[in-house]
Amino acid sequence: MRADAVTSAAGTVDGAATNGTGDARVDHMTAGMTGGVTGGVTDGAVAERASGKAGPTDWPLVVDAHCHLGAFRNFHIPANDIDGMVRVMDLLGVDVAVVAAHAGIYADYRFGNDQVKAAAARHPGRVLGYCCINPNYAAEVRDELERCFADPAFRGIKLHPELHGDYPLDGPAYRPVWEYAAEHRVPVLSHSYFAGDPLGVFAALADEYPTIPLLLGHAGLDYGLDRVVDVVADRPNIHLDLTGPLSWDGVVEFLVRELGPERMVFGSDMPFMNAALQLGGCVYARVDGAAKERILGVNAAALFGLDAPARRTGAPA
Amino acid sequence: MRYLDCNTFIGRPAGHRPYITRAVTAADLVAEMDRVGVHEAAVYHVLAHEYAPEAGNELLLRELAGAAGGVRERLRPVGVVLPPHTGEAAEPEPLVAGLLASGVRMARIFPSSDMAGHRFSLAPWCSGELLAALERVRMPLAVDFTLFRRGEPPWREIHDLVECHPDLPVILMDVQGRNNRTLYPLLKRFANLHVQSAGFNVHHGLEDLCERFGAHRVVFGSGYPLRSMGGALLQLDRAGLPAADRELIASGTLTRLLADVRTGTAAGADADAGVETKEAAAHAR
Repeated sequence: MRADAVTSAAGTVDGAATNGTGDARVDHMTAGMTGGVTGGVTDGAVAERASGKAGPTDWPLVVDAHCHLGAFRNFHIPANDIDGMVRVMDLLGVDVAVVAAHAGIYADYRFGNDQVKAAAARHPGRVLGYCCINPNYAAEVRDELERCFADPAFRGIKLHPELHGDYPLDGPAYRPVWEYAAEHRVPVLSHSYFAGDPLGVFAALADEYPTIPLLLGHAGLDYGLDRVVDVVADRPNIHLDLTGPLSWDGVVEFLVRELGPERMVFGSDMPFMNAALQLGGCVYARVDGAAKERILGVNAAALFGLDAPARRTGAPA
Repeated sequence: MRYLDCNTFIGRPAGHRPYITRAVTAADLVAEMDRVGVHEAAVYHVLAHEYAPEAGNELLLRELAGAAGGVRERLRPVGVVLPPHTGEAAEPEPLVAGLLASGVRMARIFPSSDMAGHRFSLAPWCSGELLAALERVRMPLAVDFTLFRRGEPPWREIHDLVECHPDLPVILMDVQGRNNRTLYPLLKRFANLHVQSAGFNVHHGLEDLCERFGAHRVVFGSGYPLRSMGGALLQLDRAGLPAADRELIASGTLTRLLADVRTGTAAGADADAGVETKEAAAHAR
């Protein structure tokens, strides 16, 4: 139970007075950070706050730990190439995206991994990669891991059992992944989903491979977050990827209150979904600024070995 | 920039784990609007969705009437409506007249066929009279199929709705992120179709839609208290759009639509002027 990082949802603290900057300008992101403003806000005050532009770009580091790349078969995604994604990152103040190509999680993992490699080369420091493997091509798994991680831009492994025939996460074809990740302490992000692997499978894998940072995709939303809390609380190597749950008001407050902010990472699913909707769910959450800093970037930096903010390094290579 | 949220509710929803743990009052809603930076909201009562429209509408009006100063004037009541065939709702003309007399300028329907909706068809033989009555007064209609995540709306019904009622401003709520391939041709054909912003969960989506169809086709709306109001605001605030486009989305279009509602004989003249303004704006585009 960690209540210290959570501000009161019913707080009546004036955002301008408590942002710690001494800046009289009222910033709407800062207001979200500090937990609220007093009622009876005049139109002028609201307009002033709403016109603020300093929000996400003012955070020390923003890492989007759950991104994709490219087209997806059953719906239209505008501007889905890496340049379109980096444009959105710039608008939102996101420093680094960790990317698993749509092709990697579904159509052709090698094709997708090559897309990620090219994207990371085009935007060095802004784009990192997840290596995707498909357990249905079991004989190729180990070689693909070696091929990916020869490139230092790859920092994690992404598994998506749902799109690879509902292959079980603890099935034999995934074993080389877990062995490789344990040996090299590589973070593994796995999609979690209703009717997929039960939460207990994640718990068992976390217990079996305690050196693997295991990212529970979408924070296990479909299982019920209260159940997730029970499973995660005593397993320090399970981290919660907040992609998706951030849409729901109150999720960050609930999880920070129950678990503390140390094992949560911001993710957006960009370009599969709209990144701003996810980011807004975090930066406007009623938790304190220190918790948001951890969720937005500090935790992911430790997981993925980021040395320093790579933000906005200029034109593509 | 003024923000008018077209998609909020108050009340105690039945089951939305685990984040809504107490009833959301009008004062709570306005407190969140203050915290995030939203000026006004169109609001319905969740019991009008989850129990019965008439009861929910009454509760809404009662709660707003009893709300403190500084709260009531920032909330615009939304009436949830049904077709009249079962006797649960009044005949369309008196129903709409009653809404107008109560200060309601926006309606909402839940016509989906799943358990979360009100299970009625939008086909002319079922909803035609109701939709025509709303159209006659130009009352904006929020259409909520209670879609979730991978949902796909009943396109044929949407097509018939906007085709048969060209003067009815329709706002499609929570259209989700996977429907552009069918949504876009509808937006191209039917000028009265609009999309709620945060329900359009598409990467680079507002930019793409506005470039193709104009910013006047998107209406700011969050889905609070279920969804993050801050997320909705950030989506629009950080979209790669000119300020004028963001202004239209934030409040401009819905403000105009609400002002154009024909509230009576005298107001009808004003509403007619509003229609002329719309036509002039369309011409200017």
